[in-house]
Amino acid sequence: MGIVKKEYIQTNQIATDWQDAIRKAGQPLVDAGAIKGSYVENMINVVKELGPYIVIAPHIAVAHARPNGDVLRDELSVLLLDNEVNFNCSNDPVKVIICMASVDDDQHMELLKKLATLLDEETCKKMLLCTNAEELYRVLGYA
Amino acid sequence: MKELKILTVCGVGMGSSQFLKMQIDDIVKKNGIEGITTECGDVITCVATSCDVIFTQPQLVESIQSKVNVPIVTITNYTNKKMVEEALMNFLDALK
Repeated sequence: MGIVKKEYIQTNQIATDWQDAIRKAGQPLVDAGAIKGSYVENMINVVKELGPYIVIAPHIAVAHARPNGDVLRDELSVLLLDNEVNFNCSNDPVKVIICMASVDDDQHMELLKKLATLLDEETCKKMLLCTNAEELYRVLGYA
Repeated sequence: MKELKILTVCGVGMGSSQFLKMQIDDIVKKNGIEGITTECGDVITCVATSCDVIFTQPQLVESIQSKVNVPIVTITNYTNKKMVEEALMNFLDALK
């Protein structure tokens, strides 16, 4: 089983800017009751306060914030955009937003370990080439 | 080589800094490098954390460089192990 549930993977989406992209990426988790809306806004505030350091690789951002009672379940969601958004950093333009939500540090570590193992150069390239959620799910699940 | 403590830094101290710490731990293990410890932290507490070098994203350098007196190594692409490895090795070589 992959580390991201299929229902939290979105493709063929358009975002107007990076903030819209983070909101869209987090929406399935809000809808599923895994996080509250405030967590999504906090992920945006982290970038506003500290800059676009969450764009950890070319075209890929890993959005996260410190959980503040607004994360109810550990989950990841992934959004692959049809268009590109800019965060004003050297890894622009961004096409993939991964939202990371975890209730506590221990769970967080587990999730991150899996993500760090998964996200190598090869997988990142493959992710960007996906055209639908099914493909992206397979890349994330069996990479 | 003397003990070396690497601090990875990100905005909240548990996302990308943890990610980078894991990459560095992997590389240290793979290459059998001894005497390196790693820890991650956020931009605010990193000032008070003792370490020998900070590894972070270029975008965060501005927020921390005036507050710390250790070298800062920047890495643009955390998923590129080769890039992380080169940065680490170059830093270690420069210490010799």
